[in-house]
Amino acid sequence: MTGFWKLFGAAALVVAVAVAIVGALVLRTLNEAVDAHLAQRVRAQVTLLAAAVQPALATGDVAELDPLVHSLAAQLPGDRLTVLDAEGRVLADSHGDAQTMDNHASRPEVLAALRPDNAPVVRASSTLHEEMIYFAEAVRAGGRLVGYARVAVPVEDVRAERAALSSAVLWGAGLALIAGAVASAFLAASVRRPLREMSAFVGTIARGEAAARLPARSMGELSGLTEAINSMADQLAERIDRIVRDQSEIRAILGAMVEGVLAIDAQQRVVLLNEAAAEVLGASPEAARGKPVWEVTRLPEITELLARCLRTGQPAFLEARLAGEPRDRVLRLAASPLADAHGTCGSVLVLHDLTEVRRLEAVRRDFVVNVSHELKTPLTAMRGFLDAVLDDERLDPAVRQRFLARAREATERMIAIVGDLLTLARVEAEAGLLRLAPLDVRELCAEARDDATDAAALRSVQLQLDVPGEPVPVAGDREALVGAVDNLLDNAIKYSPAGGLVRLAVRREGGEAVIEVADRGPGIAPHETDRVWERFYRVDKSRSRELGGTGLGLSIVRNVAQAHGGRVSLDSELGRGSIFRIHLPVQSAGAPAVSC
Amino acid sequence: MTKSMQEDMTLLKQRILRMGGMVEEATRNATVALTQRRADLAQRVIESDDTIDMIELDVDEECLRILALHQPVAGDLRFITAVLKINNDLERIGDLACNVAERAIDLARREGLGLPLRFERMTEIVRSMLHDALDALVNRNAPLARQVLERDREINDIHREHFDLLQQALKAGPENVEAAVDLLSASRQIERIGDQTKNIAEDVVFLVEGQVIRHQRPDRTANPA
Repeated sequence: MTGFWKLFGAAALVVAVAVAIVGALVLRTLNEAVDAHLAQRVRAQVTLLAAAVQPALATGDVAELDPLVHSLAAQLPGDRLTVLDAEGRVLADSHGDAQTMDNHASRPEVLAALRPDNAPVVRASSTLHEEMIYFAEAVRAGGRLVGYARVAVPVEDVRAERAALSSAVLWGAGLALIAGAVASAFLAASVRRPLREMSAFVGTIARGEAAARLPARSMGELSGLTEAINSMADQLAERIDRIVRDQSEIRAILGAMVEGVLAIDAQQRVVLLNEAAAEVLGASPEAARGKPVWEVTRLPEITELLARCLRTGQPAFLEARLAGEPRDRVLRLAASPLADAHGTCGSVLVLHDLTEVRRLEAVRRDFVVNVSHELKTPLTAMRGFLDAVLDDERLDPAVRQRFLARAREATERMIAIVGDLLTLARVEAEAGLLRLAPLDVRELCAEARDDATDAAALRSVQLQLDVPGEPVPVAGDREALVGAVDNLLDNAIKYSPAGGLVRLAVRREGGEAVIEVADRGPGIAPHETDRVWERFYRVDKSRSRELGGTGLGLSIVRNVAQAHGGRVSLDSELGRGSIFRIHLPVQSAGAPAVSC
Repeated sequence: MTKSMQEDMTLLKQRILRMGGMVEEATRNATVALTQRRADLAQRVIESDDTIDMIELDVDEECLRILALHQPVAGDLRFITAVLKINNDLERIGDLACNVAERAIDLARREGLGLPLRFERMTEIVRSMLHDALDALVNRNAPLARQVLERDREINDIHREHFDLLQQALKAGPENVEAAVDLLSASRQIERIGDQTKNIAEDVVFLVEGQVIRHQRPDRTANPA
């Protein structure tokens, strides 16, 4: 049974009971009033009749009675008037023939008329064969009983009157019931509708959907409830918002972290894997979730470290070196246990990529060693020649001259190295030291080509310059850029076989000006293509020095390119040759100069 | 499947993947040692071989134990037989990686021949093949396993190329003999790692699809007589 029917039923029952009680009481009271009124009427009529017939009875003038009674009865339709003498003989009757009627002395109302508690009597009339109410009164004249006056009213009349009254009351009750039912239905609906709205609203919130707030209500308790539900919905929405925001914040933070984060539960299933960790492990964060960690990564270091951390409940650290190309990847792994009330419930692993740090450390270390080594070689040579000259005063002047010349050569070499180091420091230190001016790359390259012509002729290497028809504008330091291209050409010529071809080309690729130097030399192995740009890195150590290289040329080229907001690239194949490129941002006409 | 068997199967999967991880690392170290002339990495490979052998025995024993104890059927039985074979293949790859590492140590001491050998490409393919074959095993991914089979062809081509180049170098003069023989041997070992990896991929296809694809030539599959 729904709430509506319960509520309606209860209200309707209350109305029905009230109507029934009131109806019954009204009916009873009305019936009593009818009876009392009837009795009073009958008494009054009898008294009037008695008064009217008393003189005739007293005088014994019987003949007058009949017309009198008939005339009185005409004024009281339906009522039967009877006059008896003292012995009970009928003297006159409004509805019957007095001569033929029997003696009425034994009639109950006649007998009752002599008693002090005289009251109407209801009985069937023997004359009219009809149920009637009888009331009789003794008529006295001077203390002597002279006769009786009797009035009879048909019960049927009273019954009709009562029925009319009852039906009026029943109609009233019926109308009251219908009105009550309708009112109950309205009442039930008025309570049920807001309740139903509220339950639908709460259901919507429970399903986690956004919903408009409930309209305010004027009704007391319901309005309080509505307010309470609305404020609950507000708080809930706020809390959910906060949780969602917190979660997305945490996800964003984890996602933006450079360090990889991998969390597992006690069964070694992946709970969380951020982007950085996924990249290191070559997995996808979504696919990894819920999988055993050994299915996500097979790196023995990681699975063993996590297993150890879970087993011991102690943090565990490891620096793992993953062999790879072009260089090893160095990862610092830190596994910490996750604990809850029951002990260790998982572990979180942070992967810190130390590759770049370790590489820079190595570069710095190598640099110091290299600089010392590079400077020591000519210094040792110088000392040797100078010692020889100093120790032997009688040295052949020609030999002495040659020794001093060699010492000078060593000095030149040192100057070249120190000069290159300074250039490197200059372009590396601050791009601000560059004097930027609008340049045409074609002119730069032509200038560099001219600089290299002699060196090329010396090794009988053919130089070829390819430039486009229209200018290729960049903002740059002319001296530094020409120096960089010189360096590339110099290398290309040095490593080209005699009679080889070196091609210098300028191209425009999107927003980049590309200067390309291609040779047909021995080429560089793929694992060395990144390292050749490092300071003092030499592919073939003995040959480079023999060719007079300082080991800094390419490093300078790269730094110049980077100081101009550009980059360098290298394609090489062993035995086929190499292509070195400088990429510089093109400065289109009207665009602001590169701010440095 | 009973609970204890489920646990045993999970443990077995963990062990075979640990084995795979170790062998994968050994292969990576050995091949990088070869291409970058890194004797230190090669040394690590040789040291890890004992552990690999130990895990192999462990996995074998676990397989036999499950077979004897739980008498698995259908998919589980297929998984265990596949694991037995893959385990064997992985151990073999471990040994081959060791051989490559030994050659790498020798080669690191010698002058290069300056030949356009394509060890970088060759080792890159073999590493990716092994990685994908094991990924296919983890994810029961038959299409990925089939893809691994395709890639073996390029390795064979590169090996043939190496063979020709080194043969010429040997003919050219006696000063190249040692380096050329070492390089030839290394190329051969890598080619065999590719073959073993192919076996693993075939076992994965068998495991997932229940279909034997060993010893099938393209012409035979094209025309089923």
